[in-house]
Amino acid sequence: MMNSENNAAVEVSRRKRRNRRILWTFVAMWVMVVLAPIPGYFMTTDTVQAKGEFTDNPRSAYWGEVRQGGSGYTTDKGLEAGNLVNDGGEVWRVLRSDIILPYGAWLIALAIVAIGGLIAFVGTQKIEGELSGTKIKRWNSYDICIHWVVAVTFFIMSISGLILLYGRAVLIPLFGREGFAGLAMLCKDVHNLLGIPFSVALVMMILPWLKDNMFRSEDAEWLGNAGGMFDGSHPSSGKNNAGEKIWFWMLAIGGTVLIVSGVILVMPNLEPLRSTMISMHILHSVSGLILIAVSLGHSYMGSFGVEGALDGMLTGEVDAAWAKQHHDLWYAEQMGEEAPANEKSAQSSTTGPAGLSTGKVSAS
Amino acid sequence: MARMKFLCDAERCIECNGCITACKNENDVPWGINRRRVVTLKDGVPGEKSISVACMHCTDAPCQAVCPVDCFSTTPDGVVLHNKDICIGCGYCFYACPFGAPQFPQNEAFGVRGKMDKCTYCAGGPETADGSEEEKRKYGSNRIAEGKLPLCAEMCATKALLAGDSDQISQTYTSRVMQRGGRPQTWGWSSAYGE
Repeated sequence: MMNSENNAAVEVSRRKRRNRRILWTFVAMWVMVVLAPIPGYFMTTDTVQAKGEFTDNPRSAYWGEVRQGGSGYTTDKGLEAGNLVNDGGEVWRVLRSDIILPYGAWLIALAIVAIGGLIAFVGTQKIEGELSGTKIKRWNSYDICIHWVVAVTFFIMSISGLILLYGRAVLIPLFGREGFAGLAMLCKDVHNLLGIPFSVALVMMILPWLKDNMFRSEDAEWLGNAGGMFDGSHPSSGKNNAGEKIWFWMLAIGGTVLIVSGVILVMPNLEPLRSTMISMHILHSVSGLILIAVSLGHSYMGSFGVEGALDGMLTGEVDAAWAKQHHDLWYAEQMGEEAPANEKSAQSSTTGPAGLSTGKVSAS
Repeated sequence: MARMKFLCDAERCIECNGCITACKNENDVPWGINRRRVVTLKDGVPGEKSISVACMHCTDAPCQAVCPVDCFSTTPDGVVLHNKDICIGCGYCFYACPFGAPQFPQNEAFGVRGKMDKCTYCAGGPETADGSEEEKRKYGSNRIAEGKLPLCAEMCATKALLAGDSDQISQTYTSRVMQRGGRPQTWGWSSAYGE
């Protein structure tokens, strides 16, 4: 009994040892299969290095250098004239034709569809309750003037830029090449010349408006429910709501990119390198397309999207009820500083269902 | 159908700039415009080689692909021409071209680009009547219509610059390579100067 158990234990340990031996043999075989060819690499490298003169064919080295964009001496005084081959343009061609053109069109189409969706399913945000008849000064004449100069120049430059970008695909089939050429020439000149008033006006608009467009604590809540666009609520907002602030900063940053890249593109006299012009063109078209798409949303929200919003930018004054509904913190600020007491009580009597804003006004 | 090409034999080009002079004279190329240029690599050191470069009249030309007003056209001979009536001087062809061929006159205020100018393979313009005064003024001469090849190649003293049907000139070049031998060690700089 004892003996047979002993035998069985010996048998098991022997089998285990055999299995382990088989396993290690296999591992060793695999390692050798992987390692065996490696010395060949060292030997090959040695041989190639020994025959260096054969691989160094001067003619092939010359064309290799040309292909890599090497520069040489030339009597031509043009910029980068010594460079025989510069294939950076191929990258630009792919970016412009295969990425920026189609996706830019999709972006603008998406903006239009989104606005169509807002019109169809959300509709105009009405002023709740009665108009108060009391007017609050929202924009002074400088603000109004500079806004519309930027808006009109931006609009014309968007149209001319889009014509230059998409004209070949869309308008040449309609007008023919000769017919389109005149329009394109006009667009180019208008685009170049209007760049000057646009740049000046944009800077003159951005700087004074910086103060009112700094993000504050209430903006997070405003963004959290999209300004109450879908649930009908009216989250708190200062003079500018978070959406307006985002648009402001997009315009400030994108506009700066547009101005800088535009100046470099329109003035070959500054002697920018071709690679610089290519990257500036990419920046210019990308930021332009994004701003065009977002500007559509801004135009809608500032006109049909929100009742009473356009009055502010036309006359400079908004109705107190509108101000209380959309910009309660700013309204409270204005009332606290400027409004006489009797007008203030007249305001609270016309308060609509927005209990939130009532609370804010009384708190002030 | 012939496909017209330029081919520059870098072993033969001696950087005399005769092709440029011929081009400028034949086509009345405006001041500041270079339809052709000669570039020398390793200038003044052993291994120096020169090559004359102009518009290469590409098949599927990048300039043609990016032109926003579609002013380029390829002739049945494979010559890429552009219509100066349609060109708006935007500079996109210059961004796209790997060879720096498109040139822009800057006669207007602030150096705004005028209508693009480039090598026409001495084939005039796409929209003008062959040999007309208008064609001469806008594009230069039309030697192709007269049955001649571009003057740069015709004037080349060492026959480094070849112009003509691509099959024929590549055959010429191949036969040269065969006669020289496959290895450049047997001729050229090192065999002449023992470098």
